[in-house]
Amino acid sequence: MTISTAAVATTPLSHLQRIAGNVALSERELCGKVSLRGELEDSAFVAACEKVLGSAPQPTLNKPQQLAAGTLYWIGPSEWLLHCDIDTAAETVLSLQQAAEGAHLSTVDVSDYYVVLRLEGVYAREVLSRGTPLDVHPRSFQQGEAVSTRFAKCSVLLHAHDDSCFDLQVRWSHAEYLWQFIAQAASQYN
Amino acid sequence: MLILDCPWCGTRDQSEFHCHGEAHIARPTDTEKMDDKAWGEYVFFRTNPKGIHYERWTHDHGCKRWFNAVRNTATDEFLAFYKPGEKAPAVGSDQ
Repeated sequence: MTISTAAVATTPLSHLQRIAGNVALSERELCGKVSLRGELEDSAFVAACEKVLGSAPQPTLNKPQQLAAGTLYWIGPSEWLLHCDIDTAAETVLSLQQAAEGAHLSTVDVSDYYVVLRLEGVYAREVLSRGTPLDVHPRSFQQGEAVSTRFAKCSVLLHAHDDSCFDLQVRWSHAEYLWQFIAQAASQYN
Repeated sequence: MLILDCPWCGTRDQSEFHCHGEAHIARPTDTEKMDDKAWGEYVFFRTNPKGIHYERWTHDHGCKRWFNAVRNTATDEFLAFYKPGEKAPAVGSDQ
């Protein structure tokens, strides 16, 4: 019998009530996360990624790639993070390791390292600007971009889905702190 | 508030970074012949200049990579940023 991981997983935010209003805060359903490291100059690495993920990772800063396997974020030079279905994460890691025969490639299932918060609403950018030194004005942080930055005292991966919908990926153990910070920053708009 | 140019991520706020002191300190190769004084100088002593200073930084909240920066310690002005392994640029009064 197969038990869906997502069905039994609880996160540090499971006990919190989602916030609704002009600024809405919720937790995204736990997704699979796979870290991926390798050099783009290594043709065996690129071939393994093409085979398993559907396309080669790009060195494009701030622009997540939509691949057959999921969404691929640029984390740093020679490092990416794949967001995929929770049930396929372990399988993806295994397939990459098998496909990487001879390639210098490192991949780890990090699904339980991070939690993703979703911030929505007309005042979402104002709330973001309470916690991050990044310029979150639409002229510099545009729709579709994803940036690793600081929010309050945490490192976050901030993804702008559109003008009023943002995802913040944060370390598992920092998630509740970040939630409370955003909840307080949002309270003046709700 | 300082603004730094990460060689990989671009322009970001100082609070995303951490400074790790003087750059380009080569580890001695003849360590078996070194006495305590030479070890002490390698491990503990730094130039601590007033003016041009070559430093190592990490982008902790961004790409988490190391890079080098040239900063004027008197004015806090950054003069150059470059990746590890690249040749240190000659800047300002250092030329």
